[in-house]
Amino acid sequence: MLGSEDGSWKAWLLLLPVAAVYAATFVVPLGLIFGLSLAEFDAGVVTPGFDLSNYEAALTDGLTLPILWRTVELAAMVTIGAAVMGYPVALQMRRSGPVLRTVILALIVAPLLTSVIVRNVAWLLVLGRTGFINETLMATGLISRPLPLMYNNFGVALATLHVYLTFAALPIYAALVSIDRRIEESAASLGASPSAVFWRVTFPLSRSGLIAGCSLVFILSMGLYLTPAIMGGSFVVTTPMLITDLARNQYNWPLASAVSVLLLLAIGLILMATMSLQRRRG
Amino acid sequence: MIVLKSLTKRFGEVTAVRDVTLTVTPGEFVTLLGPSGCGKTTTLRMIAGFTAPTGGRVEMAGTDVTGRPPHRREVGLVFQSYALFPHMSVQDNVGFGLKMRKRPAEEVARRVDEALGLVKLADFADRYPSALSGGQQQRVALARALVIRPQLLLLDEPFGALDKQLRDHMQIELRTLQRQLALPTIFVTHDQGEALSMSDRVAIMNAGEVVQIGTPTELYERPRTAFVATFLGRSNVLELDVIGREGPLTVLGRAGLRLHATLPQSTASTRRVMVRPERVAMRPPDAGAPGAMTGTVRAANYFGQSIDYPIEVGAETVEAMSVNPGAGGFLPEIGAEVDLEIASDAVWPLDD
Amino acid sequence: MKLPSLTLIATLFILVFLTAPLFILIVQSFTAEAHLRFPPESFGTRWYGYIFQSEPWREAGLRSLLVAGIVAPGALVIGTMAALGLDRGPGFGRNGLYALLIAPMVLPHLVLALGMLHVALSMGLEDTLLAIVLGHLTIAVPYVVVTVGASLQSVDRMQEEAARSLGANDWNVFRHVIFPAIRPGVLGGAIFAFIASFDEFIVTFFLATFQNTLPLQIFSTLSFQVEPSIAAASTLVLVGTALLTALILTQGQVVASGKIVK
Ligand SMILES: Nc1ncnc2c1ncn2[C@@H]1O[C@H](COP(=O)(O)OP(=O)(O)OP(=O)(O)O)[C@@H](O)[C@H]1O
Ligand SMILES: [Mg+2]
Repeated sequence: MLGSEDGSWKAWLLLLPVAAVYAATFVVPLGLIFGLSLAEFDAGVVTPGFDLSNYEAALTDGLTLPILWRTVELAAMVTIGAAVMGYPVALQMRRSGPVLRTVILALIVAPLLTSVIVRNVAWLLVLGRTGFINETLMATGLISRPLPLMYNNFGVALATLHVYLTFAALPIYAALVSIDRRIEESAASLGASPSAVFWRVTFPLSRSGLIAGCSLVFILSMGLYLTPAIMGGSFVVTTPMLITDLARNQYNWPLASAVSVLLLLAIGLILMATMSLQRRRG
Repeated sequence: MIVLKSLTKRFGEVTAVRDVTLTVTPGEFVTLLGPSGCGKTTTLRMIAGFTAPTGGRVEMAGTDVTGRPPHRREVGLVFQSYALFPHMSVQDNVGFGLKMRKRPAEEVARRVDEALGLVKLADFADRYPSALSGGQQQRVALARALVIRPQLLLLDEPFGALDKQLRDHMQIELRTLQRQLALPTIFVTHDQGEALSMSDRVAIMNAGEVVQIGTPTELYERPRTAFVATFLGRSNVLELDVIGREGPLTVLGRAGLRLHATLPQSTASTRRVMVRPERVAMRPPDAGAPGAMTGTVRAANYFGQSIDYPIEVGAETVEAMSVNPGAGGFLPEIGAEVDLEIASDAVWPLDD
Repeated sequence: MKLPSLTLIATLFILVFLTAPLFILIVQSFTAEAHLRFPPESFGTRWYGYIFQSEPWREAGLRSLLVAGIVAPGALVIGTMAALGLDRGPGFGRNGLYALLIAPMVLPHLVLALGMLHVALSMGLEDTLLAIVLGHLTIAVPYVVVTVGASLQSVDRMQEEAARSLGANDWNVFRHVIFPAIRPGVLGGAIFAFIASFDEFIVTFFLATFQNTLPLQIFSTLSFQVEPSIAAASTLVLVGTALLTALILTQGQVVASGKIVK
């Protein structure tokens, strides 16, 4: 069953277990959300049906769309931060010798494996009113009142950036290491200065990794519940927080589902934009 | 006895192997020889069971094994890349097939020792493949295939990665071993020298088909087609007019070129014939030999043991090869005139 | 050459950004005070003692270990089978299937969690270990598919065929040729799967009512007040995952090639 070179249908039998699990926890649940988003909700009672009133409500309540917009804004901030920080790190890894490269790589990958909530707690202790930064600045007399470093966009974006920076740095690094050094050397031999080599050869060739990393960070940031909830408290409300509130506190599952579908749509749009960007670049 | 009957393999539009029929008798060493992409590997993979034929069948000892999976075919396989298991020691590599057959440990140990002795690697049992040279790895691969006492040994360009000297050495060792074990063997190569020197019979393949099968002598002396003639060794393939007959011989010629050949009676007005360059004798002009013709030496390509001379005779160019005669022998200058002599038994008619 | 030094400075700054908060967390966890404040006025293991004695903390920690302990091997088996099936199956549709298999990695877990809760409710499985484990499996399997899938690329098909010609059946080929070649990827995948489950918040948050896991316990304590117990528990998790990470980095080259993120 594993042997045939032409690829055997029988090999797909190995996908049965994953199909069973995904059916129960991924395919059916997503289907139910689409179904629910079209159901009617009235005074706590859900009636299955096919109407768009939940979407209408979401689009006109003057709350869902601004929150979605803020979520996109936050994700964009995080993405820009991840690109600006991830690129130099990836570049440095490529330029370093094996030892330094391994050290950097380890420190870049480690957060990927560190609990998200643990890292949020850590930032809480750094940015909080009595956290590291405020206490230090107060002690040195530079400020007299604590700076508002969290419970705002800044705090949320910074902590999210910490969570997802790796996801930008690694694809950029992968794209950079796949560039044939001889191409850069020929550019230099043709008279390009180091910065010209970088901007005209290296950077364009690494663009696909940059785009892939950025879209990944963007998408992941938009779906994150925990970090905005911890770092933003009730002051920064994002779409995932809105959905959670609708489902868990207001029991308005149809509306929660409709907003979920809108979130998925937004993510789908970003994916499509990424793909067309990648395609245009060849 | 291994029999291939009308074996055919199509990959979509491409017919990689077409209608290959071949018998390997007990103890015989048969070589598949042909240019790259002609279907040698595909044929071998069908015999081993890795590729399902589109048509035809494979029989071993009278049984049709076409549908049998590779692990139940009792075929020993040696690849060019050796494909040794990197995480197993030499003896574990060699013992693998026996373990798969659930032989008792003591038998495995004994037969592994035997096999390693056979390939002269008895002292390397505990090494890992990465600590072996290419030739040693090749021998481990061979021992691994032999230890299961296969009904048939298949080798796909086994010496392709070895340097010339080691290759010559391994060729002799393999052939000795194969004779000693009387093991039917199908050997794939695109090195014609290797094919000629090692094989009992050679099957020449082209574009998926076997174009001629025979002993090395048969193929070299009596190729059926121009393809075989040119693929195996160097040859002059000449398209000549039938001019007349002199006793039992047919006279062929075209613009200054005159050859005598033993040809079956036919009404054709032109014939395609082959002459091996080493059968074209050169003499200083005016030697006055009967049947001689005169040509001009266009170049001299020096190969050490021999020298090739393209010689212009009328509109044709005939390739002559002379064994390096050393100082004092006859070595024509470029541009010089020479007399050529081609015996009638050196002229071989081709079918196409 | 100005650029290299520039990127080096940037890199150092970024590495500080990535690691400094975690050091501050560790320092804070050893406070002997009743409140978190930097720097702590006195140090001690007071809060470690507290979380080890506190019933909710202990229970949450053990449950997290239990769930991840079931999910990791489960995801390993399911994910390895899937990666293998994909690798050996027909070529067409392979990319699409792969995208589907790793989709739970990038889809908002929140949306999955919402749907999962709906399914669990309709089957009467809410707040059960089974539901939580199944939910976590879906989060963890993609990591195994990615790491094992990447290492399957390095398996030498010739070796497989050699083994087969020597009499090995599918299972023996897997055991003696494929598995030894993909072992680093399998180990990496198992550790990723363990951590993914151990760290999963939102799926558990939706599926569990009383079945607290460590992330839930930290979160619910947080919404109460930022108590030093949180720092202590977080530090324990950090150290645990750091040890597992070290294991991956020493065992697997998969991560090093950046293949974990496609
Ligand atoms: N799996 C496959 N799918 C499609 N075409 C194939 C496949 N395997 C082989 N072919 C085609 O079949 C033909 C014969 O290939 P094969 O590998 O048998 O040649 P070969 O004689 O062994 O060549 P070489 O001397 O280069 O090894 C080639 O045209 C090749 O492209
Ligand atoms: Mg071949």
